[in-house]
Amino acid sequence: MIRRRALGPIGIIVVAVAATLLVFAAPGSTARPYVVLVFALVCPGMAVVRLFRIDEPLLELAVAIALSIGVELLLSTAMLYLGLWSPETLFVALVCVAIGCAAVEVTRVPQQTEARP
Amino acid sequence: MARSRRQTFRLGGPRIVLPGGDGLAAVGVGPQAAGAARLRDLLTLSVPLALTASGLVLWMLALPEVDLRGMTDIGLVSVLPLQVFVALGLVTAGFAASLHFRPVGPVLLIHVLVIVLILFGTTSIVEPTPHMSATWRHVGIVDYFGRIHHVDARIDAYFNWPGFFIFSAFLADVAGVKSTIDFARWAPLLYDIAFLLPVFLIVRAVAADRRLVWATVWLFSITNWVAQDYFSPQATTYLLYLVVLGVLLSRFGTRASAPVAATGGAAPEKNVSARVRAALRLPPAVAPRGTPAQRVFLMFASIVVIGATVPSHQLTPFAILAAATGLVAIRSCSARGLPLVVLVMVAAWTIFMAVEFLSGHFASVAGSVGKVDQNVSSSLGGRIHGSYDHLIVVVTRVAVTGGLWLLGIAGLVRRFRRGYRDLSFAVLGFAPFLLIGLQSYGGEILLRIFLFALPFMAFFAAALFFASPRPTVSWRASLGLAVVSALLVLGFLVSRYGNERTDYFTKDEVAAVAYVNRVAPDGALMVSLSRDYPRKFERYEQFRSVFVSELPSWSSLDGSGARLRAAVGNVRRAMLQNRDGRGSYLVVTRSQIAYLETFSDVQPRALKLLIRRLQRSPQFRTVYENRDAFVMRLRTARPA
Repeated sequence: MIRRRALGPIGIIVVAVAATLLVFAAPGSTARPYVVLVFALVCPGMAVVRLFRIDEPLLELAVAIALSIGVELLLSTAMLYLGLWSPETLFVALVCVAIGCAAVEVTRVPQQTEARP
Repeated sequence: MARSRRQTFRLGGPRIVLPGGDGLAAVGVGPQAAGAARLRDLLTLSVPLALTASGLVLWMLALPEVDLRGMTDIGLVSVLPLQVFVALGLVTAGFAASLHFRPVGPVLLIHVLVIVLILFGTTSIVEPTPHMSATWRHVGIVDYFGRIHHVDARIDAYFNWPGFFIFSAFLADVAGVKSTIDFARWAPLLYDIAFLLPVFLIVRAVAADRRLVWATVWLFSITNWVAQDYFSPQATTYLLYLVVLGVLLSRFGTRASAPVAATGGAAPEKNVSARVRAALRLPPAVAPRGTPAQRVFLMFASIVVIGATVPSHQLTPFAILAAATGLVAIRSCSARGLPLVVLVMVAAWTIFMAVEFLSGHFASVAGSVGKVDQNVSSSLGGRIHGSYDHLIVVVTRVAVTGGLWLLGIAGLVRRFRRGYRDLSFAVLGFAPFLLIGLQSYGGEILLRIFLFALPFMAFFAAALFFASPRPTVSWRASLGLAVVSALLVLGFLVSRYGNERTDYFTKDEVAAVAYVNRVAPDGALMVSLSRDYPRKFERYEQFRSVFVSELPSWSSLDGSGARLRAAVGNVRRAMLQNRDGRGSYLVVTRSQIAYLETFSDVQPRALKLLIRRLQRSPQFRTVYENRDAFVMRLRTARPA
C-alpha cells in the first residue's frame, strides 16, 4: 500500500528532474520536447491535486492537466504583460512546486499508514 | 469463487474474473460447462478486439494509396481507398460487439482510441504539412511572442485574447523547439484523444450504466466533425470547458440521476401531462461528494481553469457562464457563486485588456447582439454556396448535425419514459444555444454551439439505444447503434474533410511562402488571390495582406479580354499600394485556386486565364516558382 501510493509522487519527481536536466544540461537532446511537454502538461497540476487525495484517478488526471495548463497560461500571460518574460524562471518555479508537493506527499504516506488502527 | 491470477478490469467496467482451473469447479459447475463458459468469455473479449485490430491494420496498409492531388470538391473521401471504409466498418463492428457482449472499460477504450486515430489521424499522416490556413497563422503568432515579448493589441483580434499563444510560446521555449509547426500537425489527433477523458467523466457523473457511458464517448468522437480541434485557442479552451463541467457534475452536482421510482419517489405516471409535471419537479437532492477541503480545492482549481479561458478565447467563457448558470438555476450545482465569478472575470478582461480592440470594432462585435435571425442566417446562408460537390458537403453537415439532434431528442424522450430526470444534461445541452444571441462569430456560431452541446447530445443519442442499465441488451439496440454509427462515420468523413482540397497544403506551397518570408522587407504587402494558403507563419507582424477575390470587382470576372485586363489591373493597383510596389509580392498557390474554384462564383476557366495573363504580363516578373505556387513582383518596382 505504501509503495503503490508513493509511486505517483516518485514518478512526478523523476519526470521533473529529467525535464530539468534536459532543459539545462542537454538542451539539444531529441527527447527534450517530449519530456518537457509531458512534465509541463501534467506534473505541476498532478503534484498539487494528489495532496488532496481525491482518490478518483481519472478525475485527478483531468484536473491535473487542466490545472497545469491553466496555471501556466495565466502565469506566462502575466509575465509577458508585466514585461518579466522569462520562460526558464517559470519552468524552474513549476519544477520546484512539483517536486515540493510530491515530496510532501511522499513524507505523508508513512504517517497516514501508521495512523490506521 | 477463486480469483484468477489474470488481472481484473476496473476502468468503468465490471470486475471480470477469469477463473483459473479450479475456480468454477469450486462452485459446483461441471467441467464441460466451465470450459464452455471460459471459451465464451474468451471469444466475447477477443473477437471484437480482433475486428478492431484488423481494421487498424487495413487502414495502415491503405494510407500510402491516398493521392491528395486527386481530390474533388467533396474532399478527402474522394481519394480514400475502399480499405479505409472497410477498416472503419470493422472497428465499428468491434465496438458494437464489445458493448453488446462484454462492456469492459479498457477494451472499449481501445476501440474508441482506434476510431479516433483513424478519423482524426489520417490527415496528419497523409498530408505533408498541417492543414488549414488558420493553423499557420497561429504558428506565426506563437513565433511572434517567442521573438517579441510584448502584446501589441493593434495588430488584430488575436492579440486581445493572446493567452493561448503566449502559453504556447512559453512551452516552445522550454521545450527547445523553434517552431510549433510539428505539434500543430498532430494537434487534432492529440486534442481529440484528450477530449475523451473529460467527456467520460461528465457522463459517468450522471450515468452508472457503462454501456451508456461508452456509447456516449463513442458517439461524441464520431460526430465531432466541426474541426475546431486544430492548433488553436478554441481547442485548448474547449478541453478546459469539458474538464470544468466534469468537475462541477462529479463533485458539485446536487441532484440524483437515477429513475424516480428507484430513488423512492412516486412511480412514473401513465398520464402524459402528469409525467411532464413530474419531469419538471427536481430530482431528489444528494449531498455533494468529497471532503470540504477537496471541494474548496476543486472549486479553486475550476476558477483558475476558467480564468485561463478568459484571456484566451472570446466565446468559451460565455459557454461556461451559460452552463454554470443553467446548473445553478435548476439547483443541480452547489457552486452558486460561480456564474458571478465567471462574469466578473470576463468583464474585467474586456474592460481592462481588450478595450482597444472593442472600441475600434464595437459595431462588428456588439452589432449583432440579440439579432438571432441575423446570426443564424449568416451562419447557415453564408455557407450554402459553391460548387455542386461542395453543396453535397454542406447538406451532409446539416444531415449529420440534425440527425444527431433528432437521435438526442428521441433518446431524451425514451429516458423520460423510463422515469429518468436528466435535467442537468438537458440544460447543458440547451445552454450553448443562448450564445446565438451574442453574435454570428464570423458565421461560425452554429458550429461552436454544436460543439459545446455535443457531449450532451451524444449522451441522449446513446440513451436511445441504452436507456437504462441492464445485464444484457437486445440485439436490436446493439445492431441499431452499429448501423447508426456506420452512417455517422460516413457523414463525419464528408462533413469534416469536405473542404480538404482547399485546406491541405503541399510542401511546395509552404516553400513559396517561406521564400517570401525570407526576402521580403519589413512592412511588405502580400497580395494573393484568396486567404486560403499557408500564410503569416513567420514575421506575423511585419506583413500586410490584400486578397484580390475580396475586391469589389472580382465577382464580375469572366473569360472576356476586357474583364481579364481589368483583373490584372486590379492586382497591379493593389501591389502599388505599398511603396510604389517596391515592397509588394503577389503569391499564388494551388490551394488559393482550389478555394476559388470551390467557393467562388468565378468560373474555373476564367481563373486559369487570369493566372496565364499574370504570368505572361510584362508588368510582372516571376521571382520564385515551383509546381504548386509562384511569386511575382512588379517589373517596374525598384528594389526596396
